Amino acid sequence: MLFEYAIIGGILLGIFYALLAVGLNVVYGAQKIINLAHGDIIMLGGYGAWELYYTYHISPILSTIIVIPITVVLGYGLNRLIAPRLLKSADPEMLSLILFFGLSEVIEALASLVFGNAARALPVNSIPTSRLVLFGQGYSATWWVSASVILPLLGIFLVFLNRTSIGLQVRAVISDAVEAAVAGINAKRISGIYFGIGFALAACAGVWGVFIYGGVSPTEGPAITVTAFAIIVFGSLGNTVGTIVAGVIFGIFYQLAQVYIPSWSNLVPYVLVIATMLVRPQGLFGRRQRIA
Amino acid sequence: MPKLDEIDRTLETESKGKRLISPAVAALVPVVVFAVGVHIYSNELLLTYMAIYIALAQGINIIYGFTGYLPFGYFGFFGVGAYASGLAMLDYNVPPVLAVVIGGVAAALVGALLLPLFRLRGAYFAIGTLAASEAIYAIVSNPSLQSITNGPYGLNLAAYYSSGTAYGTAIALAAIAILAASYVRSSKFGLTLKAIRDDSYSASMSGVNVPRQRFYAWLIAAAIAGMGGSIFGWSTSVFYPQAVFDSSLSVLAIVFALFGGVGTVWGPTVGTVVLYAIYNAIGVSNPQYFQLIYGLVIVLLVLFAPRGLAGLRQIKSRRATTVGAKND
Amino acid sequence: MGRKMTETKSLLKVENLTTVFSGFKALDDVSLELFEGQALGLVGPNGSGKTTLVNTVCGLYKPENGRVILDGIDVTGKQPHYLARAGINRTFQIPKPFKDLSVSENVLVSSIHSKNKVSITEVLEKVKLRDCANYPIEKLTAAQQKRLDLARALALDPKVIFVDELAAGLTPTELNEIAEMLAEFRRSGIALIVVEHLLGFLEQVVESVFVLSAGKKIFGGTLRDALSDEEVKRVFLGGADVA
Repeated sequence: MLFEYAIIGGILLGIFYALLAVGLNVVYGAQKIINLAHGDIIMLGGYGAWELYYTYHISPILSTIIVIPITVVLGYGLNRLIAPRLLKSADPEMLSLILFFGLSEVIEALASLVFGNAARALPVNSIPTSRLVLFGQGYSATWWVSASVILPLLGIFLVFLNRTSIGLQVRAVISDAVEAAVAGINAKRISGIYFGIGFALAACAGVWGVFIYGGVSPTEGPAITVTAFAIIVFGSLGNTVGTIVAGVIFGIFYQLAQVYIPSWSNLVPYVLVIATMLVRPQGLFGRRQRIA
Repeated sequence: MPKLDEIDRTLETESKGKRLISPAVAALVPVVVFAVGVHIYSNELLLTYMAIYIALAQGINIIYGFTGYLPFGYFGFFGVGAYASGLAMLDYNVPPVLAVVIGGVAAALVGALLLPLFRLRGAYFAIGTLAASEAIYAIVSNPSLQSITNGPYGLNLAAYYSSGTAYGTAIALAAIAILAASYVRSSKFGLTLKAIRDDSYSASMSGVNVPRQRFYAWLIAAAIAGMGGSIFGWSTSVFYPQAVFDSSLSVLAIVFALFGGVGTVWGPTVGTVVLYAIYNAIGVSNPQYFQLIYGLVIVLLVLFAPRGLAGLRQIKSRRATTVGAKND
Repeated sequence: MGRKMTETKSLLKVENLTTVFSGFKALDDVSLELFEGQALGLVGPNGSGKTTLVNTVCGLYKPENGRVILDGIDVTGKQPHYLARAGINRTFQIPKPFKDLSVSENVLVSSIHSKNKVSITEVLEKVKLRDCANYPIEKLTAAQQKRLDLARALALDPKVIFVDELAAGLTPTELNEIAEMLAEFRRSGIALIVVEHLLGFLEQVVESVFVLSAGKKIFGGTLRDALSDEEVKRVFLGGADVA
């Protein structure tokens, strides 16, 4: 019984983790930028949901959609601002890592100046409250509501990527920016848009992070970034579907640890990322490539 | 073109005088400043921390500045050192200064254990070390290990408190770290590290044993952080695990080193003194403002001065030499 | 071919070397022998396994099967730095100098580990870079960077040098200069394996060639005979790049 509870709970929770990580993978996308401020964007999404709820009485479910255009524009602007300088430097990957690390500090500082250091939470009744009962076990409303909002969102994202013209251009730019430019694609603009979409996915995850983590606070960013990084490395860097599957598997691992070895469960992301990098650095779904 | 006939000799011996004097100055100036400084500015604990941060920034300098591997998880060694030395004092009554050395050795051993991380590059390595250090923290602070590490409740070293000696040890550590960095910079060992940073395969085709050289640099950096953590624990006298396994330790050490300029001897020292002074002027009462400032400093550095303060100077002197060469 | 004059010493012997990448045999049972002062051209269409052969002998890839014997000692599967110190060296198709080091420091890195210390000045002299000793790398021309690769190899007192696509992008004068340098290396006993597309340059520096196709040796002999060999013709005409 406990085992089934862990598995089903893990899947529900894992859908959240899939969204949590997928944005990091999207930002990595065309320009191979590791967004160390990913967790901080998620944190901002959380505060966004909080403000929208308390100032305008908007349901978090609706907020999930409202934050998208705002963060796409933000991300696009940021990308156009920094990418030209970064990409022509000697070691763009390392420099972008450091730059986003600085950005993460800036966002964290601003958030604690604006929102204060105390954690903020949304009331449980801001979303449906009935527990989901499956095979005689009850699952928290937070889990199933977040999963049922996130699943269609991920579905739309995959359709966008695989069935729309912009999605096709994105995939072309990711596989070879120079070739794509030769084919008449404005690679810079497409990269920027995709980068913005990565931010938007992070912000959406942030809305639900308020419920899953039980609140939002300015300092939560870095730990979330590491968790998201663990998931995308596990599911193969750059592989969107891989990330989603890895997120679900991560949820199951985490839930199993919560149930059977609760005091060690916070080790799960760290062990996962180190083990993956050392044993199968290309990840679950990756082709062999030289990263080491 | 002068000197050409002596190029072998100059390269092999690099004018011995200069080789000995400049590191000595680089290490001695901070020592004197710290020794005198404590009589002018009496917050000894703050100066102790500043000396420790100089050592940490130099440790980052050695591993990142000379090998290109950026360890976000550098704080793990700091925590390991603090715990190893603290437990050595508490459980075996080891004298504090010896315990500091034990802390350094313990951190180096953990460094050896983490060696497989060097199979990773760039961001993977950076985040891999972060995950490793967070894992060590989760283990050390775990309530299940309370009988050994006192779990989440930290260590109390009040019985060993001796501010003057701790301060002296911190200054000595800063000096050692500066000497280590200047050794790395001017020795053949450092030359091979720079070659590896540029292109590791090419370096191995030049006969450089890449993993071994990197390992040595890693051990030096780990031991410095371990000793830094030991002195921190000793001078703070009561600490919780989250105080010594604090990722902002790595953050600050990296920022200080980058700000001053990695790959140089003076850069990290100057960077630490300047930024840590600012931190204490505004950061203690308003940590968010300080965090905002150094966050912006990083962003601006990356975009406009990736080599730090030292880089600004180098650009000027390099312009001068190019002009000179054209006139030849 | 110099093989009849068996006075010369065998420096490098590759026996039945096979390298496999996830099931694909990039190098299939290749054997060759190289004598003191000999220069062997390594040719073949793109993807025929030339670079794989170089990389396997230089220790970047572990062979699935076969042996590499350097001057009588089995060095199969050794690390690149061990092989470099033992006397197997190479240059790169795209030169790979250490960008943060000066020209002479680049050479010094190699000389640190050389068993027989060589004078850096002399080495730079041999590749005509003495006047550039203190230059930063970005001041060197492409041709000079290629010569620096050679200098770094020389500083390790090599027995065998793999010369990878040296000619690409060089002017005829620069080509001549390099050909003369290679001839000088050979006179001092160094053996060369020259990976090359430019047949004119190849003719100038080697007397025998070794032709690879799909990871297999399909021909060994003089360059002239190779050009009239039916299979070699077929492979090259089938591939895109007849020089």
